[in-house]
Amino acid sequence: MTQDFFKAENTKRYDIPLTHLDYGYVRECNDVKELEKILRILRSGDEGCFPDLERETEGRLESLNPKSRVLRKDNPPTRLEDLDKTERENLSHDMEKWKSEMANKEDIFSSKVVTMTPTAEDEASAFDDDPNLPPVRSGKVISKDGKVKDAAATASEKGTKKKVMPRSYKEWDKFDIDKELEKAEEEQPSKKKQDNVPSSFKPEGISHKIDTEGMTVEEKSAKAMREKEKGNEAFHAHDYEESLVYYSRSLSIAPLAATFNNRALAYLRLEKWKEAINDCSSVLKSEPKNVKALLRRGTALKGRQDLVAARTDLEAVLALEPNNKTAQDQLKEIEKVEKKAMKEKEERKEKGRRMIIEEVEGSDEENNDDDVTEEIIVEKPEKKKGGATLTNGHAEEMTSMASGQETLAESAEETSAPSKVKSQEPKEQEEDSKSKDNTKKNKDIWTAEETPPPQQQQTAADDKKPKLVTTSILSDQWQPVPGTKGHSHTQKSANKQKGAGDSEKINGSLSSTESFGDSLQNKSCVEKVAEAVQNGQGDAAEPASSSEEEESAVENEPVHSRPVFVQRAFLPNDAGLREKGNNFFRSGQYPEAIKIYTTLIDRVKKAPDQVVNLSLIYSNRAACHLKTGDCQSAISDCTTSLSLVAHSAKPLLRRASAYETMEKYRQAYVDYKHVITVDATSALAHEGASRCQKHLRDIDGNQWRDKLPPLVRVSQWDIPEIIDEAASTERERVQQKQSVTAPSQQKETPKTFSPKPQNTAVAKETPVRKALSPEEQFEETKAQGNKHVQKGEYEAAAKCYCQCVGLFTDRTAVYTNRALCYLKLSKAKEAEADCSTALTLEPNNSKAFYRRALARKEQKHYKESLQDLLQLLRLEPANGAAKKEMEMVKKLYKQEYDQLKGQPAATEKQKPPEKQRKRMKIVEVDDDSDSEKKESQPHQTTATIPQASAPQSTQLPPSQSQAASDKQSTAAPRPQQDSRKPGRSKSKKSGAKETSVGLPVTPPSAPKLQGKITPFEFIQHWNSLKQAKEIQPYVQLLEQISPDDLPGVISNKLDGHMLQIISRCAAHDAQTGEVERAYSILHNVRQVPRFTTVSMFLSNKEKQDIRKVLETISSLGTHSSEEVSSVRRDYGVK
Amino acid sequence: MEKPQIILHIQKPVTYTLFDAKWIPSSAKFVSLGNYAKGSGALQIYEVSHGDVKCILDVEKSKPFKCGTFGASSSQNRHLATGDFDGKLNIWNLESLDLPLYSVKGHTEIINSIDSVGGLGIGEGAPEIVTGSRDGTVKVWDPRQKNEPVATMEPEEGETKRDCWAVAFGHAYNDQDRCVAAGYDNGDVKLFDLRAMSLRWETNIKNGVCCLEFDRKDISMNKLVATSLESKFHVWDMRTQHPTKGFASVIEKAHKSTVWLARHLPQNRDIFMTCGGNGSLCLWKYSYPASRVTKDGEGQEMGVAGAVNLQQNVTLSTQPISSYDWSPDKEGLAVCTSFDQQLRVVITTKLKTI
Repeated sequence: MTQDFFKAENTKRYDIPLTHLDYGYVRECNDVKELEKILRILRSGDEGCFPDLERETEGRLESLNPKSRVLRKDNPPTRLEDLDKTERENLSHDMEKWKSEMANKEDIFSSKVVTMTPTAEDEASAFDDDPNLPPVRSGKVISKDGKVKDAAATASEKGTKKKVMPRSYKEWDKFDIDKELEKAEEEQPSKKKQDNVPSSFKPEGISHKIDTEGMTVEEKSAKAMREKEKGNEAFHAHDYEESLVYYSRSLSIAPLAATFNNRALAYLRLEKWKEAINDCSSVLKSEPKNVKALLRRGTALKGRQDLVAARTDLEAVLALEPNNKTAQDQLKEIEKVEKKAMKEKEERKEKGRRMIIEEVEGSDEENNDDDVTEEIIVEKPEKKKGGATLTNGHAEEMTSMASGQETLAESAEETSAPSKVKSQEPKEQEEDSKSKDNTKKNKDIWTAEETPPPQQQQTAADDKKPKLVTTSILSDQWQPVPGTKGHSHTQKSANKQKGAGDSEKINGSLSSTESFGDSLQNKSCVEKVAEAVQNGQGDAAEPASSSEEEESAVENEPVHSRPVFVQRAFLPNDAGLREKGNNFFRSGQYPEAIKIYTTLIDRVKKAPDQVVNLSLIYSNRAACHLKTGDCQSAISDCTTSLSLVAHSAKPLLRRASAYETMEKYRQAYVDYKHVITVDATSALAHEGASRCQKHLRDIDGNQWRDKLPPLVRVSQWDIPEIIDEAASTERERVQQKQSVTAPSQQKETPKTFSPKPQNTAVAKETPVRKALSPEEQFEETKAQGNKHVQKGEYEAAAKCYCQCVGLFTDRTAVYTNRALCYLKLSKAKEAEADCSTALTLEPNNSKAFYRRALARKEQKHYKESLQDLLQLLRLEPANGAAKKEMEMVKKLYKQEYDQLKGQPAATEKQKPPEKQRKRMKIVEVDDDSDSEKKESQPHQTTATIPQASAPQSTQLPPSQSQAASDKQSTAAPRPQQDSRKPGRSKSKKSGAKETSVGLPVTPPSAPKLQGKITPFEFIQHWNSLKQAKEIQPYVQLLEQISPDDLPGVISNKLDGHMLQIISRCAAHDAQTGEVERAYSILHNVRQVPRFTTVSMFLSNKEKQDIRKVLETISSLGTHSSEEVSSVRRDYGVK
Repeated sequence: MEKPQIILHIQKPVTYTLFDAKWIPSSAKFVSLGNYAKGSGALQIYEVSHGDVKCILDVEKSKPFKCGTFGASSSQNRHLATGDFDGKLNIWNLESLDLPLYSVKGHTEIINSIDSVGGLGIGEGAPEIVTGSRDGTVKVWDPRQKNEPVATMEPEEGETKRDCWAVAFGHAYNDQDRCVAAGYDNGDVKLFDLRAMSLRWETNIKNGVCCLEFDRKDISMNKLVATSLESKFHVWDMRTQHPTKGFASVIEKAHKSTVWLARHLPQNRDIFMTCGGNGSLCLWKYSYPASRVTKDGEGQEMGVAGAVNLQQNVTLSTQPISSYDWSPDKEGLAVCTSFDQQLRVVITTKLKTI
């Protein structure tokens, strides 16, 4: 036996080598299972007793797996005597305290149940004394396998009828279960009414409130505690919604601070910031130093982006608990966010852009809110959706952070603006806040050396006189008043501004809405409101009305704000005068125009808030003076105009040209430079500057710069912002159209110093005109032509252009436009001729080159076409369209060459010429020649044209039309332009392919591909078809790609949707007879990376399709069955 | 963090076999129920005072008591409902124990288990008592209705009657919904929905079900613990029921013997004590998974079980612990009985810090 013991190499249990029962082994062993076994062996004592080794093993096991069951030891219970003295005393004390508490409770109870004696009546009444209890359940039997066998007799029915247990089952059969159930259900709702149960049941049927009627104080507090515990538990289980219910129940009994805090935390988790803030605030009302409440409110405020208030709370927390980690972290985060916001702000400033502020809605809900007591709402005539009038929300903003509306409202409250305003006005809402683009491209920027006098703004704001409004037009547009005269334009502004001491954190936001009302009544009402707003501000720290608010914003953040001018509408008489003046100017009767303008100036001067208009009129008069050769007067007028509104391009340009005419090149140069700093794209300014430079160099030599007067440096924020309140519907519509169709025009600047009408479209739309100058006629016909082009009526357009050519023979734009029409009409020869004319007039006209190249291509003069394109590329090396075109032409050229050689045509992928012509839907509608140089894209896609041609501003959302009217920059993204943008970027790639996005009229069709397609192009094309509901466009697209190329072309872009479509395409191919092609598509798609993963997304329908294709192919027998079945396998089709 | 400690505060020998002990709500007293050797029932009331328990009331009844509960009584009245060896359900007014307030011979055999809800502010709706008996039936009683159960769950005729060892109320979060869970000696666990009067779910845990308890009776079913012979207990997450898989569960081994009982801490539903046949107590904490719900292959929601972690264990006795009752008023305080005829008052410390 002993021999056995020593000889045995393994233990009896578990068969572990004896050598493993060793310190060294145990220390190194990493096998938890084995260690557990060793420990069990050691504990069993089978192999002897080694307490030390046992401990060693335990230690090792614990270090590896502290939760090992083997380590669980039976511990003797701790006894009081085992505890140390303080702990023991604490415990005993605790118990005694509890005992006395319980004794107190008992006393209360016993006094109450004194009457309870076990009499017979008591026996009966002991249990049904509570009327609030639900009725007794009707007796039912559930058999063990789950069947409800029957409904038992209820006590109410049977009363005292005796029952002998067990009942016979037959008895159950007499009852109708359904009836019983119905009865039970009927009983319960009626019961509920009696019980006065709160109606707000959660879906699960938990009431948020507890009926505490009849409860003792102890019961109530016990219940409140229990509900809170339930809430805590639910919270820990991450059932936040549930925890909210229980906390609310608890609070309905006893509004304890701790419960509020807990509920606030639950709200925080659910990101219900407002509720969380409310809860914390109610805690802080009673306990202002409650750290948890402060911390949680801070977090909630931060969640709501109310960083300032959040910071205050968190700092309060740190003041109370300097080491509070959470508060520190939160503060750090806030700082980060603020820094980021600042940075973004800065960047935006550099770009001269503004963020779009979220819509500020009116706020019935907010008014109901406890926190939000004050709000400034301004009534606005509800004409927005009325068909008769046009309303345009127009707002401009000083905010960089998109802060919550509630935040604004609340901070408005905090800054304590009097609530007077609110009371005075009905709460009509819809204030559209919009960012206003103030880039250099902005046409209406006024430039001046000095900032405008603030008093004028003040007066503007203070003006309370009702103003009749007519259309007011930008200074240099000179357009007559359109037919909307009858409309009164009312203006109102609604503002909420949040201001705080720290200027860096200011998220000031204000919005003003512009609206057009039909009736004066409406208007005067609005006026009143505006008045009220202003009055309300009079004594308040935080103003909330248009220009005043602007002012304050400027004061608060001097670095980041820019002066803002509000262009008000003219008084009716003044407007008429102005129109007269404009007409005189147009017809060349300059002295008359000057007279009119002078009287107008006198009148407008008296109206205090017409700063912008005054400046405009001065500028206009300056133009008249220029025309008459009175340069001195022109200069003085320009200077006055600029003193009213600084940094305005038009008067600057006019002054510059006046200086130039007077040969004061230095001053002229300075002014030109000034214009350039304001609007870098102004060609006139550039030209003028270089002219002056040349002259100056001639005069002063190389050191000419030294003799220059100091140049004006303009920062972005110095450029004032013009808010045109009285923008006319007409203008908006027109500009909208223009901005959609001809973005080049957005960069438009006056070409000559003569104030010739530039906005021809506008001019055209004004039928009330007596005499047309040739210039005007020209513009009108041209505009008409452009319109025709937009509508696709190329013939008519060509006619118009022909008329234009008859009037002025030296306008390149007309030629290029006509060339375009001819191109469309396949009159390649005429197009070529026009382009050539344009090029003789303007040798570097890229459009002309491009169009001539196209025309020549049509005529198969590939060589010449190539030359044009080369020329064009020399001018604009980055012109993608030209590059593309060149490749195509090259190919065609080669083809032709090959054909000449008598060889078969090259690749099948090359398209016949007419196909290409179809593809080239190129339209560039130029209103003016002067923009052509800047327009780097010689052609545009036609996709947007049909839409753009119909004036639709009536249907546009106000913000949109506002955008169109207010900024002439490409920067503002508009839904309509969105459709064009991708189109444009794509046009670089693939010539002009139709971009159908956003065009419901034309269904998407497959783009035509050229040559070998790259993966990028493919995915572009593919995505452009996303709109397509039918499979057809995809089929067309796939047809153009050799199935063998598919894997390469799709590359890693394969997704479930794509694969589905491809398989549907394959099915389509198979149906149309191209089984072989369908098969090869399926076959090749398998090579695409990620195919195996993506194929899992195939639905049964697609699989069915694939199955059909594969069945057909295998029935044809062109492919080996193994091959087909491998395809089958890969697609998961059995 | 220090582990919670289970402190044996008071130990008191008695002269009968102890089956159950229950704290009288809102007091420092508890009732002990048992069986004298001569076959009569023992009911005693003890009061905790100055580190000892003092017997303040001692009555002897004809039939031995198996189990008792206060849960269907109002917190003022605090009537005790008991189940005895004879299958009788009695409700007693502790102030005068001469005659029961309510008495019904509900079962033909011993009432193994009793539970109640609707009283003491725990659970919405009507006060109800459920009893499970060796006769294989589970009956729900309303103290307002004499003689008749308000609902009966029984095996079909001809089916072998299984001994019902455990019953528990739950899901009583509004005045309509309510569930009864019943455990049988063959390992069946059945969940009856009293609102729909249907069997909602059933499973078998292979070993006899010694005890069933919902973590809380008065919330939407959250967790159900079942203890069994062969030293295992199951915890089901009752929030998400999968149509075929039922509820997700976690199984844990403990005690190296029958797990007689599982009792949830009234103040924290995720902490519970299990009591073993070897006289040991184990304190557990249930931790929830990151997400309690997941989707199966067909998009059906199914629950995810969490984990149970042993917090503390002690061995109080060499005999099985027959009952364990947390004090509803004092967190951590509990009374337990074992077959070594000892009453024990136990204090568990640091429950808050778990």
